[in-house]
Amino acid sequence: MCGSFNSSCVVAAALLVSCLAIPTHGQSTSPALPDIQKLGPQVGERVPDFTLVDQGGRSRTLRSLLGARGLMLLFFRSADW
Amino acid sequence: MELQGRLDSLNRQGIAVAAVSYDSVSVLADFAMRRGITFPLLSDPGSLTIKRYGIFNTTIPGSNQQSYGVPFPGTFMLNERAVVTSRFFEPAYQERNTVASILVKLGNQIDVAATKISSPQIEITSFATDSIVAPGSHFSVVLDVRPGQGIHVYAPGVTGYKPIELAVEPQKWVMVTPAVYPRPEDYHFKPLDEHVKVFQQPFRIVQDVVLDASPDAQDGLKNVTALTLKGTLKYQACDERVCFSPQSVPLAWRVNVRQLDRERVKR
Repeated sequence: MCGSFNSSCVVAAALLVSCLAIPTHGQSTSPALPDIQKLGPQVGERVPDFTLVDQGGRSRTLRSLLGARGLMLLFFRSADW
Repeated sequence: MELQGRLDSLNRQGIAVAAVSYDSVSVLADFAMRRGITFPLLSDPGSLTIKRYGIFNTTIPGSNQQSYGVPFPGTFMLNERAVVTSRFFEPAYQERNTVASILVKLGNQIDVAATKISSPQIEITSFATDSIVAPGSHFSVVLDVRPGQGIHVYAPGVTGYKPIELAVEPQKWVMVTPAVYPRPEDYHFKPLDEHVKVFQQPFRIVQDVVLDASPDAQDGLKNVTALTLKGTLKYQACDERVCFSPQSVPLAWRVNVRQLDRERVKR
């Protein structure tokens, strides 16, 4: 692994540094924020179907997830940070 | 996770819950285990579904390996035919509507500790949607107001009478948005042939509150374990014959503050 000095270690180290350098707020270099309220399906519109695998390895379609009175569908950034 | 705590109540109402991210199944499995999450966490490798939904965060450059691929975080409420009935997206990514705050806006009752206040001519039930909040939490303080028999109070914007007004005192690290009142009803005061907007039936005032998530605020809130929000409800009540003197009711909501959770998957 990183016992001896080699190029993959340098890459890993550089990545680590760049990750640490990411500002947590106010990304001045990023493009202007779009109007989030206008993105994606709007009230009254049907959302696209999907087939995705859940944490238990089961394949789930949108249809299979809908309850008798609907679904609260969240999109979140990541469970990993 | 706050949502897990509301899951039973949502499921009892026939509403299922699912959450999508770009994480791998193994990351989601680890997360679900650590947090005791039982509703489906869906893995969207390559963020294809996120893109198809049109909520892919295009402001993050591909060079940002950690953040690239995330959506603008938000929640869609769908009916049983997958049609959007309401949606909750935040302009700043650190800010997040709490589930309880979403449910309250949808008119649901939530299971929280509330304070009953008997005030002249009206009865007030006051609560905060969340007892624990963190920097970025977008929650609400709520007043359920029940006018007494034959009583009305005046809606915002009414002139000539004191309209009802909820004001929350400004406080460091706390951002408040204007209170939201329901649609008032028209009241015809026959003796003067006067039409005025009032509330006569029980109604709900929702005041949204966001705990600042900026680095300064996170630093400033580091050793803060609880906050008390203070406010005032002003109103004037009348019945068919008499208008009572205007009232000013002091209000307070106490919430516990926790730090942002930085725990990650153990590798």
